[in-house]
Amino acid sequence: MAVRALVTKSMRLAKNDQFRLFDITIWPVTFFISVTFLTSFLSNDPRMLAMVALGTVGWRAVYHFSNEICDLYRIDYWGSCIDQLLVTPVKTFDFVAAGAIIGAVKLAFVVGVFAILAAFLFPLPAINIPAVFAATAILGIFGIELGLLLLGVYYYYGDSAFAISYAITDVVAVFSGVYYPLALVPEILRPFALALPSTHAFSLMKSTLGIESFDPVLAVVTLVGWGVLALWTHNRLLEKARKQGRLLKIK
Amino acid sequence: MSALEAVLFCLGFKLAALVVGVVDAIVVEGLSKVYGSFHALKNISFRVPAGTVFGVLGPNGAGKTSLLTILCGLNSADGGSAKVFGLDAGAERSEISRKTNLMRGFSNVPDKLSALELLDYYMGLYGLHDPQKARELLKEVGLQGEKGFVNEFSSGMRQRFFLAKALCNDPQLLFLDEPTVGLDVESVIWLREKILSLKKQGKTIMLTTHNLREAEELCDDILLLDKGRVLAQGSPKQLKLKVKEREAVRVYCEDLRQAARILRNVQGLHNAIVHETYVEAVALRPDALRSVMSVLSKAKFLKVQRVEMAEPPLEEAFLKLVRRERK
Repeated sequence: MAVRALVTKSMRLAKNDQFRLFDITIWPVTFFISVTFLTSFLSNDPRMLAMVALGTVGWRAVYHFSNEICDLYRIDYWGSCIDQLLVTPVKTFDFVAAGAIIGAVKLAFVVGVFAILAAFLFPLPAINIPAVFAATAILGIFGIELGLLLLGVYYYYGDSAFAISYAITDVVAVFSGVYYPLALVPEILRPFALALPSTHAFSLMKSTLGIESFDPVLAVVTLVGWGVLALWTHNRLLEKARKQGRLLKIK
Repeated sequence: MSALEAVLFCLGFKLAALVVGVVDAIVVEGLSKVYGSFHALKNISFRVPAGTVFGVLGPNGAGKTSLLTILCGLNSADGGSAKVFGLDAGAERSEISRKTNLMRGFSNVPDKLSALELLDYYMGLYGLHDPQKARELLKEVGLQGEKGFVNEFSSGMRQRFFLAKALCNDPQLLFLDEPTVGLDVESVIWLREKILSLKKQGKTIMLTTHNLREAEELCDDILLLDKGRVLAQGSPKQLKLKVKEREAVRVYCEDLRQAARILRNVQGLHNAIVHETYVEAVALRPDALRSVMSVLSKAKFLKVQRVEMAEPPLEEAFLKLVRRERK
């Protein structure tokens, strides 16, 4: 029931404050149009255009799933009422489940908008829908893992961690080869890139276009590894936050 | 736990134990909390009987908020134990949160949500979805029909909302953290009446406040904290007596010197001093007033206007206890 309450609150906030809808309308649409137009200008290869378009979709999955989980906490923190939230029986699972539901809905909407735009604006090659769906699922799960990890960081570091959380997802995007082949990532940094499940998910998307190969074993191993890391970090930071009295550091 | 409580609990008669009023809502034993090198709570112990208003008083940095956050399960203790309705505040946080709620005087709300939407949200976090009950709660606090966003309410209206929120899960124990801070007189009076009415309904209330008059008016028992230690615990009257250790008898009459002379011979009275309009003597025994009345009834020539027991205000007791401890 706490999941339902969190989801309903998010929907009501979107209804009462339409600026929140920019997150699924103006911002992703302008970005999608900009990068696809730029790619069309630089290359005549429709596969490049498809790679960038799919990259945009895939990254929205990571962004929406991780951001919605964090946002459920951040809204009450910014509202200086996190104490009112944390004294209820709400659990981390509720944040994660509610964030995942809201993230899935937002992603579905954005992907729908992208699909309509793509159909009108440029020709795309035939896309392997099941493979794209599987890659998006991996990215969604990775987004949830990032959200869980960042929640732990929020509990412990409070508002000073909010900027870090945006930075982390941006850094992860750079190494994941969202809009370019993994070969462009400097060799010295490639082990780090390969340790990210998102890299393998984007490789799966690119493999459907004949650009890159996909390693399913590495994808599963890194996904499970990040899951364990996120859970451990979250639990450890929550425990430390309770111990050091950081949960209630509210201005 | 008393023998009667133990027997009732062992037999599984928790409800019966609650009914006879022998259950402690909160039991704190040897509780300590350390932040780095700062000792926020130093080995404190106390009990809060169910169905009472329990005040926690102390200057800034006394440890009130640390205590409250441990009892709410927001922070963990470093030593000792804190139990709420027999549940461990650290390990059984979730169960405790269903039986308790918190209202703070300086809390806020998320932007852009109406009172009904926000109350529905908080009820939902407790697994409750009952719009009708939400409307009734808002009516109870005088916010029925308020369409605006709660973050745009006046502080008085916002506190009314927070009271509704604090009652949304029908808690057995309410933590009120300086609930009247920043409110106008009318709202303060309204809230104090509500607190007393909640007590009548059998709810236990733990109130932290800087307002000593408020504590005196509302609390059955008060815990005085300073620098993480318990300075004193008792009813407001007991705390005042602890400082002055006795009450004073004041006699207003025409012949003050003669009255002082007479009072000095009354057993159980001490140090009768003549003031401008009355004679004051310290009562060493609880029945001193009766002795005074008996003597005065025979001394008609004094033309006694009135006799009263004077007790020091709680502020005086509080300051004296804190100063005495710091010395």
